[in-house]
Amino acid sequence: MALESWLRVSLPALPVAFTVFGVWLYWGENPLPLLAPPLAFWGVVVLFYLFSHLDLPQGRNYAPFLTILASVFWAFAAITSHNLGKFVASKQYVGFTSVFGSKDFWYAYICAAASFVAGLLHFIRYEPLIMEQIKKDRERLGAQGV
Amino acid sequence: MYDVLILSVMTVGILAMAVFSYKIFHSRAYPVGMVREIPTSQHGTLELEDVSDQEGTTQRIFYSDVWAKRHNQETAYGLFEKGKKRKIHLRFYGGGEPSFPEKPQGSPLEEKVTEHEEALKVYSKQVENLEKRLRRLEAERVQKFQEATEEEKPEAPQVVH
Repeated sequence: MALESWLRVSLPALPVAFTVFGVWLYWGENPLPLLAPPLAFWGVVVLFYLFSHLDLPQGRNYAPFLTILASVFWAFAAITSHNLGKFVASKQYVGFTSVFGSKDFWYAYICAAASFVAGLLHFIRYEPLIMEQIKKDRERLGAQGV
Repeated sequence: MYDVLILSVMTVGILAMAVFSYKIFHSRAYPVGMVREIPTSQHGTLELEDVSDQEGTTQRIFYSDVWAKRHNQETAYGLFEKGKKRKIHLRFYGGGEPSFPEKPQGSPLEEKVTEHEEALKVYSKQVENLEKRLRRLEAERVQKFQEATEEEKPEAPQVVH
């Protein structure tokens, strides 16, 4: 994968990196309530980037709907993460495995995973096309002397 | 109720995502608008030439092919007073050597009025700067006076048993 493509996936992953390295490793706080929304956010940003640079003559309406759905999942992940945070701060939380008994954990992480996976699959599929087009455009402009 | 709502939205959402993704994967996709081309000047190709008019004032002519195309002329040029950005004249000619257009003659009174207006603007700006400076100095003076009065306050008497 080209360096530009790595940049495109890394930038929206900064909130996830902050949660892992900052909140969890540096401050020693429980990252579970804070990890789901940034994961979903990554998917939203990647989908938005991809569909801003693709023209889909036949699937034109599906792209914005998919991005909107990813955003809705982001919102749900954020809301249920808030409830998960309350659970983690309560006496019911006795360790990592106790979160599996909380419904909010499943809601938050299933929504986050759905948005994340949608972004990832579409990125794997369409980023090579975009990079190929970029290469062709640069060669064409280079040949024109621009 | 909360559980039912979240669960139903999640299920519908995931199914919709799967369907949309399937539809997108099975449609043609064309990458568009990826590499930015360097924008050309809005005036197109500019050629500059400094000329002196009959009165000895140096003026700058620039030729614009974009203007020419816009007005269906072979050539188009604009005239600027050298060193200033304000346009004096704009003429479009159908080819050949551009001739120097005549400078519009305003009445001496109009010229004087313009001169006075410009001088007034400069003067107003100077007055404004002076007022700002005065206010700043006044504020500094008040601050220094307050600091000085605080230092001079007598110390509270000490009680000796």
